[in-house]
Amino acid sequence: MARQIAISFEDDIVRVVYASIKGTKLTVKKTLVLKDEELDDFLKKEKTRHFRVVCNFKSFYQDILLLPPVKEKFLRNIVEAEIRKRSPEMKEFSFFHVSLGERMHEGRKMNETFVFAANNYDLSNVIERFGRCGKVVKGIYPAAFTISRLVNLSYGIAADPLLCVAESEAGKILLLMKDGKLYFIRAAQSFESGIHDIDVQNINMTVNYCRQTLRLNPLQVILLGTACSHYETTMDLTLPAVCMEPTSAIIASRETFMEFIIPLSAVVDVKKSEAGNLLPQSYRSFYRQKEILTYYTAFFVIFFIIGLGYLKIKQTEMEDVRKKINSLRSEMQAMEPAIADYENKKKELDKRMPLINFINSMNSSPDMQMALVALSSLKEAREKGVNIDAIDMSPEGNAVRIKIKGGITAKSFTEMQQLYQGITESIKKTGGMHLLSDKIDLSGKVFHIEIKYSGVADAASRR
Amino acid sequence: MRQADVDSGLKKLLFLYAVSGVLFLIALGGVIVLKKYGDSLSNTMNRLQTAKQNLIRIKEAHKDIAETIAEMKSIVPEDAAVRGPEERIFIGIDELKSRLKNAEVSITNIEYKGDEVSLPVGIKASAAGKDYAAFVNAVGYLQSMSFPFFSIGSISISASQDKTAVLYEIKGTLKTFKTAEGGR
Repeated sequence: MARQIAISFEDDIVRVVYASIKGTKLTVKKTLVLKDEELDDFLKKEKTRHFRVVCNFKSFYQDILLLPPVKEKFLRNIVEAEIRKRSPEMKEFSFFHVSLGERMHEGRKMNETFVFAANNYDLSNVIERFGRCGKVVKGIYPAAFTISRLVNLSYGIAADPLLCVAESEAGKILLLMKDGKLYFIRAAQSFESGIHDIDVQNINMTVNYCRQTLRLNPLQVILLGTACSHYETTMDLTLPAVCMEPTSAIIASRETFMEFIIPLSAVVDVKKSEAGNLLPQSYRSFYRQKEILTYYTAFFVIFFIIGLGYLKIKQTEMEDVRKKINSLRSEMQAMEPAIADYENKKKELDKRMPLINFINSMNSSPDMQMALVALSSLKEAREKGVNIDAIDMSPEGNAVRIKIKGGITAKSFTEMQQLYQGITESIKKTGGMHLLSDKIDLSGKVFHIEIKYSGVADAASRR
Repeated sequence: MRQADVDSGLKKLLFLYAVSGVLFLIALGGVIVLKKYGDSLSNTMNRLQTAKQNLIRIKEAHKDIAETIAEMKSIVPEDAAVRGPEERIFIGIDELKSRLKNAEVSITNIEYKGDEVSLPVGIKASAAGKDYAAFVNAVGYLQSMSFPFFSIGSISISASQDKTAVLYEIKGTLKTFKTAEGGR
């Protein structure tokens, strides 16, 4: 819930409204009426830093300008130049402009724009009064502008011209509105609260001015706030008059609404009110720079504190790690003799490595004896008529290559085949024997068999 | 707004901004330095822990080396430091001849290859067919020799022309190591 404080300067009286905004509803929390000289004390005591201010400017410039249709970013510069041209007495000023629509002028399409300008001197006097008390003016608005926003909120956007009359201690504020936009503002003197003859006279004169000069014919007079409290006049208004009833968007007593209608209007729909903010550019820049610097400073300070916290945590962690390292180092130092012993042993081993390699190479030769034992399985075949003429054995890696040459004594080829098959089957069945090739010459009845003996398990068991 | 007020207000804020900025940079620098230092400490600790674990492996390796050396010493003969490689080979050939009395043992010249000293040996024998077991035992004896070792190059078994006997021929090399005496 956003809290807003609006202050309205009304001659020697200052009205203060504390309001909170939730969604579209505005709730009035507190109201104050101060004398102008009491404001400084109030500001010094008040804790809130940001304020919205409504003023009845004694001198201001207003006009309806016909401008060429240009983009919005160029329009502001053109409006400023037009104000300087039309009101040379205004040197430093702040202004707002409201586009009223397009109009044909001398055969050309022109943009009709209402402008309102106030002297920066007058604005600065108010803003610096707050500044001296350490407060910031977020927005400074002419009362007529904020009232027009309140009328729009209560009545909606009326297409017909309306003449609104509000009242402050300084007098009556008359404003002409059409399509929800401001067309004309007039500050009129008034000595009493409510509507009296002099006020009727002023209203009628303003209506005539609107008809004759602005070519706008107001259909109704809307009396706002305390302007509606008394109606004692012997003269008749040229237009029908109605009192503006409190809107449901503002939660406040009827009396509060009527009496504080001007400061209340400054906190209604604050986002849309920015269009009428007359805060001079120098203040806007200053506040922006101040805001940026404040945020960065806060950012730096926060990160500095976080950094310090991190450093503190890390320092504790590192102390633990350092202790562990020291403990490990002392353990390592205690183990140095073991390392030295290992290195000596390693040197000794390196020195003996050629001899060890020699012994290993000698012991890794295949087991010829076991190969010969395995060959004794051929004894059975020999007894049946197989003659083994020659056996050649040679080591081949970890295995033994064996070549067998022999002949078969048989009466028939069938018997020869059976005997030969017997010898090959016998070889295949022998553990560690792998038949590489075998060939039999039928005419000579001789055979050649090549075997690989790799009795690895046997060889290993030998060592 | 009076320029002096603006300047004064902004100067004050700028000063605070600068001070906070410097403090922030100091903190940031400190964090970076400490982070790097912390990483370095962690690395050191990890390395030391790895080294500590390696010490256990070193002890195991030390034990393995000691066992290997002890095993090697058990293989190398006790008189390794006294006898030279040639002498050992000659002792080996003499033992071989005395063991294989019926065999014809022929040798050539001693060869040297690095620290290896070798002597090519040829063994021929003729025996009746039933002496196969004796031949197998002889081969087993040759394989069991150490310092010098007998490296069998080939074995040929063939029947004689008249088929009454079996001819055995073993070609091999007696090998020893020059610095075998250092093994003890």
